[in-house]
Formats: sequence, structure tokens, C-alpha cells
Amino acid sequence: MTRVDVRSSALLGVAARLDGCAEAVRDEAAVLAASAVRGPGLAPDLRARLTWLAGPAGLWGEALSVEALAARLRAAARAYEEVERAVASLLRSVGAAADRAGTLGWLVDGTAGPGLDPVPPRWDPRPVTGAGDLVALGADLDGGRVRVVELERPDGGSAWVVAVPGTQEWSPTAGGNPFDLTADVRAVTGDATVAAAGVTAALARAQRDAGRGAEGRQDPVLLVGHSQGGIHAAALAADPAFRRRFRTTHVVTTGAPVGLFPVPPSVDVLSVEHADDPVPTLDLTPNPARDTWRTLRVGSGPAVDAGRHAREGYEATVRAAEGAPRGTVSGLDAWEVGVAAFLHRPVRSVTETQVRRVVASTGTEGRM
Amino acid sequence: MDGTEREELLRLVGRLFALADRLEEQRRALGRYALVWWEGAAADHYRDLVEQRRATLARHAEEVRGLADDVALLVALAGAQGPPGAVPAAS
Repeated sequence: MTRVDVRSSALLGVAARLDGCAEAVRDEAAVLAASAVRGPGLAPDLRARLTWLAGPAGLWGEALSVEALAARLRAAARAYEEVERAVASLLRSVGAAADRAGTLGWLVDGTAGPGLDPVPPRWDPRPVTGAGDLVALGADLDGGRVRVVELERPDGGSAWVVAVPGTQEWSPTAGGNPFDLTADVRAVTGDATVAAAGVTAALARAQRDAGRGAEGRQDPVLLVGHSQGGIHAAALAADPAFRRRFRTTHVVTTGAPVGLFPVPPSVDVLSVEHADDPVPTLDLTPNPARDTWRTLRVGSGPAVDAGRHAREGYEATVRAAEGAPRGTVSGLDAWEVGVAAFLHRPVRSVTETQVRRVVASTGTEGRM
Repeated sequence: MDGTEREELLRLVGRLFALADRLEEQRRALGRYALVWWEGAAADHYRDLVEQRRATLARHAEEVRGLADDVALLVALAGAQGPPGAVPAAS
């Protein structure tokens, strides 16, 4: 998990070097002070200048200021470490859950694992025409509902769009305190396990029902999620076990802090962020700048308006971007070309599955 | 100013110029710690502070050089006046 921990390590490394710089400056201050004391034949004003340069207003004070800079970096590194630990924990949970769901039969009705209930779809089948329609697939997924849409590819095969539910809406705190993310991600790690297992099982079931069990492994899969659903989508795409089971080719996230997830370059990511929404910045980390990770960042900060986090607002933003003259929204046209296997294709099937967590010790269960 | 004092002051001049150079090195080193990949409000604030420190170090280095120049001038003036004793104040 190299990418996850590189930031705190780098900050701590630079902090150590700043301490070295401060020490060197303090040594120079000592040299100056000694010269001021013992320098013979110095005119009083020169001696006073030497003393001033060595003191609190001079190099000695400068050494303190550089040390303060190092302390500031260490504090930032600690914040990163917290976030990195949370993300690493989430990834471990998702990976384990996706793997187990795929190999041990989790979520098969009647087992002790999380439960899986087929439910009537709330989405009317229609071709997906762009990113806006993909974001719209995230509507009405409350209660841990996973929506799987099977599309017909030109070669007769299938392509799959999976709308990943968030376990709950974020409760962003104005100002984007990174520990909010830590707390929230820690709180949902267990739910992430259920969500990962739920997505894995829901997709596997949809493929099996469509008669594409073994063949389905070669079908392209697009994961889309808003907020925590976006986190789950990125975490699943970052998980090698999930990608081995499902050929994940695309991820679409809205309003989600996903910059720390090591999604491989083979997966094409589109992330949409409102600049004034505090949630996407909770990971302290900009999304990777690479050809296969496009971040559509809209508006201007500061990121303190929690009202800008709603999924519906993101859908409107994406639709507005799609309606803009070609070429005016950087990267969107190229992204649409890359995702062509999913756009304007007939819908073969829609399945929706509600995932529930079963608490084995008490036999109680709850909706995700 | 006797010969010993003069030599001592000349050594001080050398130390001060060397000190100014070392401060300049530290200033350059700080420039390498700007963490350009780091983004966000905290990162911007950190880089502002780094720039402040670099500016202050540059100012201190300049002041040390100015002090070295003045001490050197003092030594030169003392040498020009000949007999040891009266040490003029630097301008």
C-alpha cells in the first residue's frame, strides 16, 4: 500500500530536515554570540549589532521559527497517518469481504453471513446516455440497496453497471476537519465489509441469473457511487481480489474522498467534486493526476457548504457539464469515448438487492 | 588597535562572511522543502511560512554581510590611522 503511506512519511522526513536546519542556524547564532562577547576592539555599535543578530530577533529566533515549521509538518503528518490508517483499514475490510463473498458463498440466503434480499427495482430500464445517467443510478439506494444494470454490448456480450450504495449520508463538518473522515470511515468499516460483500454477491447473482456465470468474468464492469458509495466503489476497484472476479474497467464517483485509494491505471476513473463541498477533500489528498483518472472539479471554494454535497446536486452538475459545448469541459469528451461500451446500449436486465447485516451472536439483523 | 586585535577582527570578518554563506545555503535548502506535491489549505499555509523563513534568512544573511563589511572597514580605517589606540566608530 505504498501510495497510502507515502504522504505522512514524506512530511515526517521533511520535518526532520527542518529540525536539522534549525539546529544549524542555532549553532550559527552561538558563533555570533561568542564573537560579540570576545571580539576585541569592536566599536560598541558593531558589538550591539552582533548581539542583536545572534539573539531572539536574529538567528536564535529564526531557529525557533524553523522548528515551529517542523512541528507544524509533524502535526499534518499525524493527520495524514490517521486518514491513511482509516483508508488502509477500509481497504482491508473491503478486500476480505469481496474475497470471501466470492469464494465462500457469503450472502447466499440462509447462511450466517450478511443476508441478501432481491427487491423490486425502483429504476425504469432505459439506455444510459452519459455520466449524468450513471450518477442518476445512485438515486433511491437507501437501505443498502445495490442496483445492477446489464447492458447489451455490440458483440452480443454484456456490460454491467453497478450502483454502489452509501451506508449513510455524510455529516460533513464545515472546515473539513480530517478527523471527521477518520471517525466516519472507522465507523463504517464494518458497513464497508457488508457493502463490499453485498456488491460482490449482487453482481455475481445478476450475472448468474443472466446465464453469464463463467463468461461474465470477461464482461466489463462499471462501478458508480456517491459519497460513501463512491468510497466503496473506489475501494472495490482498488482490491485485486474483486478485480480478479470482475473485470472492473470504470469507476464513477461523486462527492467522495477517494484520492488515497490505489485504483490501478487499468481502471478508468471519473471523479466529480464540487469545490465548495467539504466531503471530497476530507482525505487531504488530491486525486491522482493521470490519463485514466479524470477529476471534474466544479465551482470555487472554500469547501464549507454541506448543502453542496447532495447527490441530486452532483447529478445536475454532471448533466450541465454534458450539455456544455463539446470541448468546454476538459476531459469529459475523452471519458465518454472510453466508456462507450456502457453508453447508449439496450438494457438487458435490472436487478436490485438489499443487503442486510446479520449479527450472529443475537440473531438480530439490520439493514445496511 | 594593536596587531593582535587587528588579526582577531580580520578573523571575525572571515567568520561573518562564511556565516552569511552558510545562511544562504540554509535558505536554499528550505526551498527544497516546499513539498510541491502537497495540496490544500494546510499545504498552502506551510509554503507561505517556508517563504517567510527563506525571506528572513536572506535578510539575516545580508545583515551579517553588512556587519562583516563594517568590521572590515573598521580594520582598514584603524590601519590607515597608524598608531594603535583610538578605535573609530563605524559609520
